[in-house]
Amino acid sequence: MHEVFGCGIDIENISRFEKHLLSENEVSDVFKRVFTPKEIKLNLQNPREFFPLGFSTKESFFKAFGLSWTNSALQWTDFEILFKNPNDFNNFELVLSNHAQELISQNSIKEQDVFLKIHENFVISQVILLM
Amino acid sequence: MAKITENTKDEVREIVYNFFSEECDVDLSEISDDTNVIRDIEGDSLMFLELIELFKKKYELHIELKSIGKYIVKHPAETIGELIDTTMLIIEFENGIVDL
Repeated sequence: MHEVFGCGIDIENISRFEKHLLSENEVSDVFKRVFTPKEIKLNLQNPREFFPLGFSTKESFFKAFGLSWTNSALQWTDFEILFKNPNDFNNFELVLSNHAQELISQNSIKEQDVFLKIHENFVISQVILLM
Repeated sequence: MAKITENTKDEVREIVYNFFSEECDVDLSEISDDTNVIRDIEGDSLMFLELIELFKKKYELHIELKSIGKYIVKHPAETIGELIDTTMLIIEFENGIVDL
């Protein structure tokens, strides 16, 4: 039987992210700090949805750990949300590295459940960490 | 490292006030140095990242997010005034702020 280590929920307005899409293949420096090159490449398949969803998921991970990038060694790029299909935002691979991976090991977290939803102009994410 | 002049703080203040007024859709007259960015005008992570990038470009700063994070852990910046003071230190010391 699993125990819940932490749960994080986040909601983002999709339109706020549009100014960071500079062209078909170019994103802002803010995105380059938040997303890895691999994420950027995959997100550009469906930028309007994938960048807000990825950002929101990272926020939810921070919250599920009870931490933020301003009060811990956790970095935005420690979580990679790799969308596999441009038409299906629920088809993604999750890759945790550096401090995120250390936290997973230190706290004996066995499972990370991520739920994503798009409602009108908003993306919603929920991360549940199970021990 | 950017050169700090007498006008730098006024310039930073003007940028911070205008930025949050526009992003949070709040009239400039409703913002003061005591305004709590998250509680009073609903600022969020994306805005902080955007503001850092804005100053990075304007003053040609070479600073990593983790350096800012390490400084803020020890010296939280919750109000507009605190954010202006932190920005001044970032401009002056860049990654060296972690040693302050």
